[in-house]
Amino acid sequence: MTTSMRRCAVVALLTLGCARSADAQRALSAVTDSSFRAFLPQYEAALAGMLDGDPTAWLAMTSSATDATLFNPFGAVLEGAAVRERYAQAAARHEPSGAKPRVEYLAAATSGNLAYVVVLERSRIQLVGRDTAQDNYTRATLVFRKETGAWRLLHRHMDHIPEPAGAPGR
Amino acid sequence: MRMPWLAALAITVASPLHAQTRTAVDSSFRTFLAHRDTAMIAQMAGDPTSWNADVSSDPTLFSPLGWVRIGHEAVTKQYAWAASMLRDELVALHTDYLSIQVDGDLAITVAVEQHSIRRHDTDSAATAYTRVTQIFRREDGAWKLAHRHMDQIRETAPAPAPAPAPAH
Repeated sequence: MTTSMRRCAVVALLTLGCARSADAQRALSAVTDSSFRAFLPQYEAALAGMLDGDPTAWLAMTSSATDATLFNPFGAVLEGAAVRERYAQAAARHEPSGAKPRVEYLAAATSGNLAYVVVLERSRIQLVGRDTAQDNYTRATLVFRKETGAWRLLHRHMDHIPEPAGAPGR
Repeated sequence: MRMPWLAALAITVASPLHAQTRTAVDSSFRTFLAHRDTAMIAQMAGDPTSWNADVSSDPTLFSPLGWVRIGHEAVTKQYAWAASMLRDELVALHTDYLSIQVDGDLAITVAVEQHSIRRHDTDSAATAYTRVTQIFRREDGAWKLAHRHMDQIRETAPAPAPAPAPAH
């Protein structure tokens, strides 16, 4: 094997007090890539910033490469510079509210300079123009690439589709 | 008897294989992607056998209907259920790859798939537009599908600010 393939345990997340299911604990149990493990709290902090109206940290960790991509929850298919523009627009829809997202890791792995996480992001957010805060549930797949020694967000696929009642396929 | 694959298959690489700019795309993965197209056609025609044979030992799935599945049994059952909804009839598949990244034993594809499918409960063919992110891992020398995230959300217009729903 030329690279290590490991299911991720993001120890640093424990410091954020995130509750996890047994599945999530299992998914996060074996990450040994220390640089990626150290990076993931940055992703969580950046997400909190986005949901609080501040995209600074998020944009700092987002790749500026032409092959950066984004599938946002409204159906957009974006590449290159348009990705960063859309992230900034998205942050602007959120009022500062002290949003504290809870990230549940379902899977993660690294290999060389490539990494991914599969997560459920839950938060309570305050949108611009809304009177009350609302719950936010996001399914997200994030791909990261190490660029000049730092992990950068290369792709994010997200949607707000709730899990339906019932269980076809189980 | 299962009909022969009459499927019309068109694979379009919408953008160059970006990974090539950094490192050559693994030849075994290129071969595997071609195999995946065949497996997908079968899946869309109601036969999940080949598709499920490529599923990782420890996969996850975000289905377009919102299902979140974890583990081999739950994920393969979901794929089999999805296939069971579809008739064994002509299927058209068109995949636009936006990005393919391969590094060591991990590969990622970002694509928009358009399928023409026939469900058992309808007479007419339906075209599905699906945004798909897939994660593949090499397990015991073979590429396996570790994660598939699908949704059929289609942007109709640029979202205004403020938006009616959360976005980030």
